[in-house]
Amino acid sequence: MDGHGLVWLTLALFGVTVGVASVALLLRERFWMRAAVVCLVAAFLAGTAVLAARWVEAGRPPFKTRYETLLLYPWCLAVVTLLLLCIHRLFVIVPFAALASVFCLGYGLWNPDIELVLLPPALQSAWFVPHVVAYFVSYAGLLISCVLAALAILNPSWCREWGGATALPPGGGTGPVHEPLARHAHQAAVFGVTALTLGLVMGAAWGKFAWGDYWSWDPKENWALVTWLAYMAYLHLARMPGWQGRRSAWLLVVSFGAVMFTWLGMHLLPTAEGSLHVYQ
Amino acid sequence: MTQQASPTPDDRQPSPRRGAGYFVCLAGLAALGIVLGALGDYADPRALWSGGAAAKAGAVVGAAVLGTLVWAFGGFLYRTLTSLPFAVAILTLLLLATVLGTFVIQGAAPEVYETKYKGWASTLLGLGLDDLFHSPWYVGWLGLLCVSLVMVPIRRKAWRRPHWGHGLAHLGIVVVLAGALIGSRWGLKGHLDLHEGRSADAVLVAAGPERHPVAHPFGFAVRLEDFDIEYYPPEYKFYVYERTGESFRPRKTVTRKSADAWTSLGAAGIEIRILQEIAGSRLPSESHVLLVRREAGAPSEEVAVKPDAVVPVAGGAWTVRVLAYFPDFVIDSETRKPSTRSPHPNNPALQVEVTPAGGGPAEKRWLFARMPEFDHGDGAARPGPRLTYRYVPAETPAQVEIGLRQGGREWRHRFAAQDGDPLELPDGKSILTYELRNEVKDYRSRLAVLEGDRKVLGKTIEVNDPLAYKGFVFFQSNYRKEDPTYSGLQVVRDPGLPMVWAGFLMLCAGVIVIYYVKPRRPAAAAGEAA
Repeated sequence: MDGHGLVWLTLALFGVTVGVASVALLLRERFWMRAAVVCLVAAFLAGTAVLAARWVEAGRPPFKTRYETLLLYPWCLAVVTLLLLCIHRLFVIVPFAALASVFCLGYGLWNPDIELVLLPPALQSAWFVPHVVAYFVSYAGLLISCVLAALAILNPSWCREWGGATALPPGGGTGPVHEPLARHAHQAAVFGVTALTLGLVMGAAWGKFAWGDYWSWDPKENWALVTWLAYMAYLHLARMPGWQGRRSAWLLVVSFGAVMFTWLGMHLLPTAEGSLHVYQ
Repeated sequence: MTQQASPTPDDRQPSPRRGAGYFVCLAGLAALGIVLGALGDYADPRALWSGGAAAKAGAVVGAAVLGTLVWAFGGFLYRTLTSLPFAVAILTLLLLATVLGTFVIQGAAPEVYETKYKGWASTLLGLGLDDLFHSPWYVGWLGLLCVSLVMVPIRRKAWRRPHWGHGLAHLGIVVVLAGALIGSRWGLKGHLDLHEGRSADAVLVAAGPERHPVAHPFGFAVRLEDFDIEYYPPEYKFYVYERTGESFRPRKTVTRKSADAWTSLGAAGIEIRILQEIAGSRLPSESHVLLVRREAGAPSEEVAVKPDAVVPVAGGAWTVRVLAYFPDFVIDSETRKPSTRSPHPNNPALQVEVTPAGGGPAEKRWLFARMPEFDHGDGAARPGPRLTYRYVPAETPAQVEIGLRQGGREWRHRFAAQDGDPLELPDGKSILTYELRNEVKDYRSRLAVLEGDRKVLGKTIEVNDPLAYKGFVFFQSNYRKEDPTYSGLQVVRDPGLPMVWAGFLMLCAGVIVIYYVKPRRPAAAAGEAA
C-alpha cells in the first residue's frame, strides 16, 4: 500500500470512529462506545504507520510541510484522546477528535505535497522534532478543550453520561454550564498551554542556535505569541469572579481560532511573504 | 492532582465589579498607550541611550513624575498592578497590538507601504505602525507588564512553597525580557562577508537613529579557511502545473524511475513514459543545413551551407547563396528591417538567394529553423527547389524523449535536460516541464580564530552549530551559489543571553509546577474562587 493508500485507510478508520461513537452517544450504549474506542485505536495505529512510512521514505521527520502536519495532527489528537480516555473516561470527546482528524486528513488528501520536500539546513536540528511535536500535542489539547468548552456551554443531554456527572452547578457568568465538562475543558487547556509554552520556548532556543535570534518578530512567531497570550488571558480571566463558567468557556472556544490561524492561516497575512516559517 | 492551593488575595476578594475593573484597566492602559505614542512623536526614547542632555533632563523629569505618583498613589497602584483585571487587560492589549503588527509590514521602506496599503500608507507610517514592536506604547506596555509580573509574586508571597511555581513563571518572563533588554542595549548584531583565505577583526553594525555603520572590533581575528556547499543528489523530474488565473500551480511530479513504465500525469487521463535518453554532443562550431527537394514529395538531400558561400543543389540544377544569418530573428520595430534580438540562436533565420544553373532570375527567400514549413507556404506556385532550414547548434544538450498517450492517441516529445521549454498538455489548462532539482543540503565554513598570528581555535560551523569565542558568536548565515568561495556570517554578542535562558527555564518549570506539581483546582469549577 502506498503512502496515500495508508492515509485513506486512516481517514476511513477515523470516519468509522465518528459514526460508531455518535451512535454510542445517541443510544447511550457502552458496547458501541467500546467499539468506537477500538476503532480509534485502529485509526491511531494506521496514523502511526502513515507517519512511520513517510519518515522512512523521506529519510527525515515528516513534519516539514503543511500536508505533513495535517498527517501529524490526527495522530496527536488520537494520542491525547486515548490518554484522556484512560485517565478521565472522557468518551464524549471521541467523535469530535475523530471528526477533526477526518477533516485534517481530508484537507491533506485534497491538497497533498506533490513531492517529498528536502530538509533545508535550518531544519536539520535536534530541536525540530520536540518543537513540532510539543506544538501539535498542545494543539490537540487545545482543540479538545475547545470542544469540551463548547459542549459545556451547549450542555446537550446526550453528552452528560459520557462527560462526567450530570449535576449542574450554579456556575457564573451569564448562565450555567455543564460543570464537569467545563472542568475537563480547563484541564485540557492547562495541558495545552503547558505544551504550548514548552513549544514556544524550544522554538526560541532553536532560533538562537540556527540564526542567532531567539525572537525576530516574524509573523508566525507573533501569532504563536498571540495564541499564548490568548490562553494566558484565559487562565487569568477564568479566576475572575463574574467571568467563570460560560464566559471563560466561550473564551476557550474563541481562543482556538488563534491556534487554527497560527497553523493554517498564515499565508493570508499581508506580511507572510517575508516570513521564514510560513508553509509555502 | 488533588491538593488545593490556598486562596490568593484575589480569590479572597470577590467583587461583582471585577468585570468593570477589567474595562477600566483596559481603558487606562489604552490611554497610557496613546500618551506614550504621542510623547514618542516628540522624543525618540532611544535617544535616552545615546545620552543627549535634553533626553537626560526629560528622563529626570519623567522619573520625578513617576516617583511622585508612586508616593501619592502607591497603595492604589500596587493593588491595581497586581489585580487580575489588570493582568487580563494588559494581556488583551498586547495581544491586539501583536495581531496588528502581523497585518502591517514591519521595518520596510516607505514605498513598500504605498504599494501595499495604498491610501492607508500615510496613516500607518504616521502612527509609527511600521515599527510597532519597538514603539514607545508597545514597549511601555511591556514595561508595565514587567512591573506587574514582579509585584504579583510579592503580593502572593511566592517564596512560600505553595506559590513558588507561580513566582517562577511570572518572574521567568521578567528575566527573559530583562535579558532581551540587556542584549539590545549592550549586545551587538552584525553581518560579516568573508571569502576563503580572508580574515576579519571587526564587524560593521548599524547604530544610532541614522543607522550609520560602526565598526566593532573583536579583539581577535576570524579567518575563513574553507567553505563548502553540500547538495542533495541532483534529480530530474517531470512536473505538471495547472493554470489557475494568471499563475501556474504545481499539481503532480513524476520521477524518472516511475516513468520507466506508463504513469499517469494526473491531468485529463494523460500518461507519460520515457522512451529514450539522447546524450548531448559538442561540435567545433554551429552549422546550417538545408534539406532540398526538387518538388513536393520528392526525396530530399542535405546540403551544408555557410554565409556568403555558393552551393549547388538538386544535382546542380540550382545554386544557393546565404545572404544573411540572424541567430535570433526579429523585425526591428523602428526600422521595420530584419534584425537579431540577441547573439543566441533562439530563432535562427537565413536569407538565401536561389539561382537556376542555366541562367534566369535569382530569387530571395527567408528560411526559419523554427518554422520549417514557411518556405513551402505558397505551394506549387513557387518555382525552384523546396528548402527546409535546420539549425545545428555547436552544443546539443542531453535530451529525454518521452511518449505521451491519452485514450487511443499517442505522441512523442523531447525535453532538453536544461532550459527545456514547457509542453502544453491537451487538456488546455496544464503544462508539463522537465526540471532539475538541485537543492542545498548544508553549507559549512571552517573558521580559525587568530590572536595575533597564532591560531587559538578552529571549528567548522554550519547552520545550527555556531562558533563562540570571547563573548562573540559566529553563526553560519548565507552563501552565494555563484561565488563558491564566499561565506556570510552573522556575528552576535549578547550579554543578556544567560538571563534569557534562565528565564525560559524558570517559565517552563513554573508552568509545570503550577499545574502538575502543585496543581490548583480548576477555576472553571465555578464559585470556588469566589
